[in-house]
Amino acid sequence: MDRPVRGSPGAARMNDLSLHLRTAAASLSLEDFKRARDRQRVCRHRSDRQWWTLLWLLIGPGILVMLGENDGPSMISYATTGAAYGIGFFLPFIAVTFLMAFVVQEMTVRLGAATKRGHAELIYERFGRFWGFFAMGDLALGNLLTLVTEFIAIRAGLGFFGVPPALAVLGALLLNVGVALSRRYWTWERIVLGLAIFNLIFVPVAILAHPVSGEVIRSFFTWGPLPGGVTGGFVLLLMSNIGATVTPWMLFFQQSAVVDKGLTTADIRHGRIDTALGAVLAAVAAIATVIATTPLFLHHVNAASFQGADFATALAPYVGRVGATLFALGLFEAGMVAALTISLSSAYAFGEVTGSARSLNSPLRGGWPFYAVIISAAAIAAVLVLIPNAPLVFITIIVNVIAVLAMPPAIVFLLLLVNDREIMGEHANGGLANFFGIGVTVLLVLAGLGFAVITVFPKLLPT
Amino acid sequence: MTDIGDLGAVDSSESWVREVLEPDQLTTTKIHYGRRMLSRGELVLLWGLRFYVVFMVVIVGLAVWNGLHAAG
Repeated sequence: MDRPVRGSPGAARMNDLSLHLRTAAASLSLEDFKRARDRQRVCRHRSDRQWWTLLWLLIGPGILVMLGENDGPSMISYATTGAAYGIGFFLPFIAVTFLMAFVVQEMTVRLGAATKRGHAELIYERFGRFWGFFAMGDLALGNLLTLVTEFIAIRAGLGFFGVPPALAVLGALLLNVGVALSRRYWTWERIVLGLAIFNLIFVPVAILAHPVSGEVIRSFFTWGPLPGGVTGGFVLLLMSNIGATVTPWMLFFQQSAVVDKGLTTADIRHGRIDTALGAVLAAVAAIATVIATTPLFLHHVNAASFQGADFATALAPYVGRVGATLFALGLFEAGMVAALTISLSSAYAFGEVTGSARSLNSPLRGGWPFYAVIISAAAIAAVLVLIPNAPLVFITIIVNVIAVLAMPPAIVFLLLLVNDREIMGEHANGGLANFFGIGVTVLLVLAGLGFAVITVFPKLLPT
Repeated sequence: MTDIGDLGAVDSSESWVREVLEPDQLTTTKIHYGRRMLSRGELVLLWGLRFYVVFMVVIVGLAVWNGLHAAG
């Protein structure tokens, strides 16, 4: 008998009985048992109305995607912003960008929970092979280059402590491989969550910078001051920050992680809480980083060409050795968590499009392509970072261009899928969700395109 | 027979798994959704995306070209 296609004529009559018979007859995989074990705990605590435990069990993908987006280059970007502009416009601006990120990422929660499919898988099934392979391919390329920048941050962060580059990069690679080979989504998630929470290490650095709390609070109401006013450099920074609010790997990662974790439509509310919590934590860490480097602005230190560890060194006179140490550790953490989440998003997309394993619950024997993608993506990036005279600055610039340019197709497909009532049912976007979703999408796309074009044709930007 | 050795002590019967997982969560029972029927507007949008992909490749190529020349 041909496999029925959901939504096809006559499928509705067949669905219930067919589904029951298929489910009863289906043999179970090890992946099913592992996921079921996690779901059993969720069901038990839900029925016992143990809400805090339930929240603890269900958080994960949202926090990881938001804190993962506070990656090495992002933290350096926030540090540069603080050194150039101090406390003012960019504090509320950063908060708004994370609000925009929440609007987009919340849609991936509903998509994953309602369809039980990852983002690449849905694009492949609903829009065909070309778009499925395109989505996987451009994600893989963008992710590989982004992973290079993460290993740069890891090398810089640990370099502050005198760790040789090769040792820093190899250690990070081994950690990535080790965590992935736990072969248990729950274990991977909890370890990475434990690492990710250290993104808040920038908060004590901000406190050590002794900011004037009145100025910090006032900036959220006045959106000022803006030293130097609206210049070409300010506009470019604005566009790059807006354009990079959400990057493609975030869409693919969170939706697939929701599926891998086993969330269902009953968990959508907790998925939203998880995503909102992640956005708040990430915004706090980002704003703290801007505040932490404000002493450089106040003392007129030119940080325009600073690389990662340069900030830690330059901050030492103002935040002390402890503060500088925490900053360097934060840089390492930012790169490490992003490396873990980004390499996993590549593996998810690969498995979903090729029809092979796509879960951290997969056994090694049957799931080796999945684990091979994780390991090889991280390994290639690690090797590139260690090549003498490798064009790493060039790669960093190209990554930004690719990330913002790859966003429009990814986010257009997200909107098309989340409005697809055939697959989403009652969880499809309503009018309000579309208002905010499309509005944020248009802003992200235009800012990203503007940034990319100006990066390639800098003379277009008035000085 | 399912190898569940690395789960430790666990009930090897399968009924509890089917109770806690939805059918679409089982690895072997997913139904393919099939291609979406596209409206005229969506067709136009996807063709626009195809042109956008060409634009994207050109811009990235130019960025790489500029970067290589700047480095050289």
